[in-house]
Amino acid sequence: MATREAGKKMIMLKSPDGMEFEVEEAVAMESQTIRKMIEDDCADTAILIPNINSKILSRVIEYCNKHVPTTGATGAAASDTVAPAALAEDLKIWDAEFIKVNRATRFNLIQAASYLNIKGLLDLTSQTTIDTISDNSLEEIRSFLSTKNDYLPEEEQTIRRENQWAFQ
Amino acid sequence: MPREVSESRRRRRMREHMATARDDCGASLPYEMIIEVLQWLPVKSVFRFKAVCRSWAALLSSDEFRRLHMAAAKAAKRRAPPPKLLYISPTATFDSTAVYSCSFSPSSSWGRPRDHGDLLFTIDGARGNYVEVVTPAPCNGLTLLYDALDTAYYICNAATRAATRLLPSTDVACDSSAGLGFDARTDEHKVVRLINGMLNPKDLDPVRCEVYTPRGSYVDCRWRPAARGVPSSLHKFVHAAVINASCNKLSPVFANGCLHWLMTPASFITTPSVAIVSFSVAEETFTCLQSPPFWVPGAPPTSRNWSSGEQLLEMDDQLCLVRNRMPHGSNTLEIWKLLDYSSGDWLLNHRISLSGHLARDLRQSQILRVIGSFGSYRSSRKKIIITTSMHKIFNKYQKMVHTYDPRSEALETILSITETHSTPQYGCPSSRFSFIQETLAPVHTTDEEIALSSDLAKATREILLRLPAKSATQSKFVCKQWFRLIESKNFIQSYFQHKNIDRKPKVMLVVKSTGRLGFSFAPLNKCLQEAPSHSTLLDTKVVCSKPCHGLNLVSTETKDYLCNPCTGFHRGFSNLGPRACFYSRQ
Repeated sequence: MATREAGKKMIMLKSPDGMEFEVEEAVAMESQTIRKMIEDDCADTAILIPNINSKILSRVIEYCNKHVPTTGATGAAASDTVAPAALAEDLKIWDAEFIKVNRATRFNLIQAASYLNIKGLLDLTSQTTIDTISDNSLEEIRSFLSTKNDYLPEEEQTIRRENQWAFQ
Repeated sequence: MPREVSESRRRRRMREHMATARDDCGASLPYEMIIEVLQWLPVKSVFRFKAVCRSWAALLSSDEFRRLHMAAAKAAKRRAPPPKLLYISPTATFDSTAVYSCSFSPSSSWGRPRDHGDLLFTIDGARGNYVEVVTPAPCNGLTLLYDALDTAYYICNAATRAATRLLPSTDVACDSSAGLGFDARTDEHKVVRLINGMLNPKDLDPVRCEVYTPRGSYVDCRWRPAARGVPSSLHKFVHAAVINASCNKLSPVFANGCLHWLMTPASFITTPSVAIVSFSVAEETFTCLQSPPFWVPGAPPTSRNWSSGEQLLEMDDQLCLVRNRMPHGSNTLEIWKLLDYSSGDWLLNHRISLSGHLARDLRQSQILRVIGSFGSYRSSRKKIIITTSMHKIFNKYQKMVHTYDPRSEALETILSITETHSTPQYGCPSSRFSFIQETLAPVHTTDEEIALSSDLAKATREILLRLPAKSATQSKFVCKQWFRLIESKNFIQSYFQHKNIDRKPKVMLVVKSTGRLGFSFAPLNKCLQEAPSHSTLLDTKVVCSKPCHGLNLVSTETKDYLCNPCTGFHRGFSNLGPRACFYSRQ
């Protein structure tokens, strides 16, 4: 990240705990929130990203680096050949590896993706969470998302009876 | 502008909703994020998770969440679970319809197709072997069914296992064709029905169009004429479209916000330059679309055969036309795509060869329909779904579902079942296949269904079933709810079963009466107690038939009467002739 290539504009991102990240503008623009800031000329020196600590921010940047569309000579021409399919497959494997994190980190990533408005990352993190929980028992889900069961036993029975097919 | 306002209002309402919920659930993930995550849930899990806590139940049942979930489902089409086949079949007693699902993946048992699916739910009262699937592909998650005996339409969402019966139309016609469309602007489905009024000279319009918008409770739901009606310049085309749809059981196809009906050149003296009647579901206006290049406008139709072997199809969100070349000696199916509405350019998109050994079933079938496709061509997983129907014996048909892979040109048989149809000999059997879209599309139950499903109503029904027939009939006038209960679809049938299981029939005698009929029914024991007298014994010739489903045919010298001795119901017919006899349609 240190080498500054000619013709590529760099953007400084700051996390609230004081860390600074220098990224290519194209990478930062993966985030619709930052894109808007840049387009509105609010990003002269550095952009402070509130709520997202350096550990999470570095992971988000890692994701954006990987997912930024390859531009330049190969970009447009390559998109119609067989290569993109293989590339997409590579990216999928990379995504699957990337998302192998603990629960807290994943939740933080969801929040960061939502705040920074990075659709791909939000889809990835949400879908992974859903894949984890959709087959779990209700108790597991409650503990997973720290939700309390506030039903009376008979109320829960009624709800279960009304939607019986979903429990089969 | 108004869209933004409603959007912000919706967001605000959501936030209020969340604020109340946050107090109960100390979530480690903020509530907004929970919604973000939950909108990706499979439909089944949505229903299961209603039991997690109160706030989740409120959230997951809300219209807001439903919209988010449907939008997510649309955006994530590629990641959606593989689609499932839907088919309907009569239940064992033929008084209800069972809805089944079945996977499209090839079955494992040595390549032999499946002969059954998984039961999803049953629709009570829809009489099994008369029910057909109207929409070949679901329209925004919903499927339209039609009960031909009851002339009633049903809307169902197989993913949420919900179904509702629409109020029947008052416009009964022998030729009509209905389809299901979606108005994206109002976020509502519409059932659109075209009616051929030519056969009834009383009708002013030769063709009519009526619309039904299923909505939530306490809203007036009924069939109403389409906003602009059918323009008289298009009468002959709409007429041809209805005839083709009802003769060949070809339902309209929904694509690009319009319902499309196909015509057949055989309806005209010379082939017209338009082939399709298109109805905009939002605007409620009619237009005609250009015919495909293989129609020769101005020339006499190549065939006078009513079934042209052509059908419409929605594939990859575009309107397509399927051309079956088999009647013309070529073992191919062609799928043409309409590229542009205004210029009317058609492009040959697929040519499916049915010459192989596996295609034998398709070649031999009387009816072959392409109902849709799933997967995308790019991901090389695209499959085209083809259904066939072959007449076996009397009212038995062998129905099959096949998938065709356009890349490998491989044909697979997914399902093979034998079905019973109560169609008259001349008609072709209706379709019973569609597929399932995993969405939360709402099925609005009508006020009547809500009223009849309450616990009190169920208890009342049980009591009414145990009343003697005469009292049950009189009870109709107690209140509106009782009237609905007694008049409801399956009450009569339940009543009949209830009274006649393990019970001896009630013996009644036909006796003389001073009334207009000249005869009446009297219970046997009452007659035995009284001494026979001239005031009770008949002195004219009256012949009474055996009961058939609770009714007796009574013939006097001048008239024939259809009577229900238990309720006192009777209807007179001026002499049906010496051969008057009963036959029942069960």
